[in-house]
Amino acid sequence: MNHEKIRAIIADDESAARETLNNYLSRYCPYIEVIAEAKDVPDAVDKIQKLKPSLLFLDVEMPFGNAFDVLEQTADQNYETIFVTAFSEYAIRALNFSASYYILKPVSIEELIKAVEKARESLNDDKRINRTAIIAQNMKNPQGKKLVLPTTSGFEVVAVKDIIRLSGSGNYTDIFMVDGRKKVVSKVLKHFQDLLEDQGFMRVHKSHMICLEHVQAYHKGRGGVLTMIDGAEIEVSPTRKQDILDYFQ
Amino acid sequence: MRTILIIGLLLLPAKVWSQSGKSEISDSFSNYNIKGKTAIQLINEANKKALSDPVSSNKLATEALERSFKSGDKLAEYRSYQTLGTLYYNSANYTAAIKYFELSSAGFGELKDKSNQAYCDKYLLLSRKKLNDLNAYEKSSKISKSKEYKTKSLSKYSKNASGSDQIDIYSELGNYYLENKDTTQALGFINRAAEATFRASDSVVLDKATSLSTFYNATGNYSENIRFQNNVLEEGKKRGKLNIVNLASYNLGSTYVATQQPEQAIPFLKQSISLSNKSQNIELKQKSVKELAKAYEDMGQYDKALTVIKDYVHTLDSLQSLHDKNLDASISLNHEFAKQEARIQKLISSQKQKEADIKRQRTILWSLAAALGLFGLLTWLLIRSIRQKQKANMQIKLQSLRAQMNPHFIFNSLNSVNNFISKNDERSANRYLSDFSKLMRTVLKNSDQDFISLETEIQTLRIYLDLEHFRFGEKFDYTLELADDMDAALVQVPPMLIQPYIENAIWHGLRYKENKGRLEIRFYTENDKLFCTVKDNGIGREKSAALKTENQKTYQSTGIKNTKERIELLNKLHGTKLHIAIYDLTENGLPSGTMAKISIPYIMQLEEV
Repeated sequence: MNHEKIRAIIADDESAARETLNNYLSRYCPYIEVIAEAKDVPDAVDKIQKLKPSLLFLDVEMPFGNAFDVLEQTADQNYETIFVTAFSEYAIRALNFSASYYILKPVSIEELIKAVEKARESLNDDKRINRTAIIAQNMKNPQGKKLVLPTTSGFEVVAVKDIIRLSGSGNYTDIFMVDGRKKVVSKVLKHFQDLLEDQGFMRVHKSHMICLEHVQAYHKGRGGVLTMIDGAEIEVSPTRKQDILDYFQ
Repeated sequence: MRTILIIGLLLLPAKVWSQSGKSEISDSFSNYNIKGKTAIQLINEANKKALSDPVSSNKLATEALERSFKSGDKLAEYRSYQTLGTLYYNSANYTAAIKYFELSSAGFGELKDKSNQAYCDKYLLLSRKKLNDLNAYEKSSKISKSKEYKTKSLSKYSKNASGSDQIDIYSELGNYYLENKDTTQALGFINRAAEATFRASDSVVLDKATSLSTFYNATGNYSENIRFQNNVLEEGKKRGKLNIVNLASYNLGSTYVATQQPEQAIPFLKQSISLSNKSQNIELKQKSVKELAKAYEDMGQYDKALTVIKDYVHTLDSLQSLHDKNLDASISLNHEFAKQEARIQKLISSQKQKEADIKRQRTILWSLAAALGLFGLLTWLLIRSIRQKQKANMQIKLQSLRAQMNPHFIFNSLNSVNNFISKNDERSANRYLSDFSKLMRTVLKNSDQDFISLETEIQTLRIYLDLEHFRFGEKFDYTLELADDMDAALVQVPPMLIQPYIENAIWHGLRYKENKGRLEIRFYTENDKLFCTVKDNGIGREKSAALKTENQKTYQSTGIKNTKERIELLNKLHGTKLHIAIYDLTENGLPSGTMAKISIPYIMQLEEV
């Protein structure tokens, strides 16, 4: 384990919030060294570029832009981000796409420790994915969205358009790709439903979610059966039958 | 669908009218121009001619009937029947008379025309009697066999009855008692009938003089009859009516003969014969001659009797020719009547057909109207239910809109407690938390209300401002003013309407400012309206919008949008005129902040107190 201190910047427009985070970090994450605080977007961008931190605590809502503006403007920098947000479903979805670390306000000390631990692990990983860059990319190019999958052996980045179907089994989800590969992710199917529902995917069964683009045929029945381009036959729940018919007609 | 129905309804009555006003025939009689005459006028004319010219009278009555059908004049229709009945009665066609009197009696009954109905009933009875209808009495509704009923109906009926009817009723009652061998009672009624006779018209006097004479003689009251007939004679002289005098003379003569007083009889019978000669009343003359011959015979003066009988034989010739003449007239009259009768029957049957048609059309019309009514009712119910549903939806929507306190604010505020905790500042943490709880409690409490007192609203705003000021104390100071003339406890306002504008002022105006800003909130009344202004000296809307990055625009607070929707819904639901205007402030031509001015009609607040 690397005993060098991790250099971090806190970006938040509320001085009290910055102070709180600073106090908690010094008390519970002593290996973090807060080298600067930023009060808005331009200030944060400026300090990241000048001080090149390894870790950024970033409030999503700030004056003169928001967290994503910071990421866009510092995409060339290599740092891990822990997002801090009070309430932003939109932001949380974006973060989940890239499997980024985030904590919610009011800040929980337990969550803060956990997030910092994960960020530290990631920083020590040689094959580290630059999630910050992925978020920035997803923002700019919504059609070619990338999804970061936390697999058993680390992380993997896939294009949303390459996914044929997902099938849930307990706490894991199997993801079937266009190239025939299968990925096992330790997330429930609901997690992906929230992320992909407006990306051309449909939950057709309690354990199946499919990409509508990759449907080859539909056979009517009680709920019916969908044949996907990889030849898989997916059962459709009777309650979703109408949605399928509406979509294809 | 609806339009077609309405058009149908408009067309239908037009068709009915056009039918009833169709053929306008212009008939006219040689001696009476019927053009432009009403049915009633024709009937009056027909009645005038009933005796002198029964054929024309019949034609007029038929014409009147036709016109009454056209105009739908029921009274004229029944009066036409009445006249026709009378004409048939006069021409001794009692079967036809009964038919018309039945029609007219029923008709007058419908119209509650008692005096005309009585006339018809009387002739109905007389006609039946003429036909020897044994059930005539029973058929007559006026005169039943029950004595009590008779007496009752008499007293009741005689009040309304005309002179002639009264006589008839008395006569009928007399007749009834006579049949029941109660001569005393019978005499009483005959006397009353006799008395009434002198108040009646000439024709009635003539008619009654004969019939009452028969009654008296039948009851053996010859002296009464003689006295009565003398009175009739005097009445006839008084009125200058020789036919009355003639009849009374004959009655007196025959009564004297019947009572073995031939000497008394002779002068009256002679007078009758002479008057009969003058008026060519062959029938009466024949009767008088017979009685006179009998009188001479009774006196033993057979030669005089012979002379009279010779004279009588003489008269037989003229009588025969008269009889033939009468017979011819009667035949031709009957022929004319029969011709008219065919026309009348055609008229009546076509009228019946027309009435049936109208009834059918009316039924269709009513059913269409009912269908339309039902349709309208259903539409109304549907619209009402839709309106109610809309209103309910609006209320639900309003509820969901007002329950929202920006969650961003909630969680950021809670995070402020973390600040005190991280500094081990127990008291501040506690105070902050209780202030925050107070705010949440009021917001939750007011969330199910459309209006709350301004006092409560201001307290809520103060806590909110204090909490925000704690977070952004370096960005702004604030003032909250209430005009002196206002009683905040009595004024009612929608809760949390102003808060989003304050939030806006801080979030988009003051937060971007380099130096410390100022937020001024004022409540005041003007022209009976309540106003609230939220004024900041922040960077202004324009600059604030320009500073927004693409990423920020994707995520935007819905507070103001919600408030606008709430105001629209409140206005719709309560018919109020809540209005919000936002002004960009300038100083020396440069943006110097924003002001939101919210107006609330004063009346609404009183209404809700």
